[in-house]
Amino acid sequence: MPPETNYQQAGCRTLSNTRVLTEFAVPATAEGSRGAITRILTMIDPANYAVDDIYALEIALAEVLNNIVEHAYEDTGIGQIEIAIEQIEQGLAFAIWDDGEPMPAGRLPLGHAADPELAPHEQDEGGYGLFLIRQLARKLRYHRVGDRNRLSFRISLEAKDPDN
Amino acid sequence: MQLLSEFQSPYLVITVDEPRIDAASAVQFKDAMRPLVEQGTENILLDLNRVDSIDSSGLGAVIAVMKYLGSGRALELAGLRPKVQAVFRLTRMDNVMRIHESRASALEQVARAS
Repeated sequence: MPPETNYQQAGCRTLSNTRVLTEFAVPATAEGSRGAITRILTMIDPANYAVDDIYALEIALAEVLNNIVEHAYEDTGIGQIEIAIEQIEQGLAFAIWDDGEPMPAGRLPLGHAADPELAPHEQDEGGYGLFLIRQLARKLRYHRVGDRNRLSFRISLEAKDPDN
Repeated sequence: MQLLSEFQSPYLVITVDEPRIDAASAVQFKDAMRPLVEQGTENILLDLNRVDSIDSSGLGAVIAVMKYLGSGRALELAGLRPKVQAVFRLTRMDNVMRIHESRASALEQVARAS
């Protein structure tokens, strides 16, 4: 069965250049975030893609969603995260909305990696989440739209070589 | 948070018997590590071979444990599964920490050096 038929059967629509895979909302909790990732992985059939790309997808999504749970909604457990996913030629395009607090100074922080000049116990405890997102996602954009946050980004997914 | 500890000279080996160390469990991980590391003065070998994934909160919790240990006691890692390894590589924590392929290879290395 061609994949497009699958998506239509799953209740999704077909647009001119891109396929909207799905749109859904989850509660702004750790469980909601985990559930969203499971749902997305189920949808794309991970066995078709390079395993490193699937890890990148999982790691980036976990960081994006947990960032919203912890910072935008300040771990209150109240609120929703809306996720829209389009299939694009090179992978998946995400638009993620929440009604929480804006990013500090209205901008996406840079984050940072470990500092090679410092001993292990001198490293910062935080700041790695955004660094991971920036390493793994392309076209990362943050906008405050009214009282809402919108984060959009793309994750590359390379089809697995069928001979391997 | 299920942690198993045993002395295996020269380390205090702590095995994390959980599928993930993430935002939902990072605090429990830190709280559970503290009494275990207080059992001795050895360096810690944290065996992660049962952990499928870690996120930035989990990584922060590992660093918090290292801060607690201070400069006198090292925490080394062993048995990183691919997704866990990716997080340590992408954040370049693999450049600042000692990471062994497995608990066995960490112990062998010590045996060879002595």
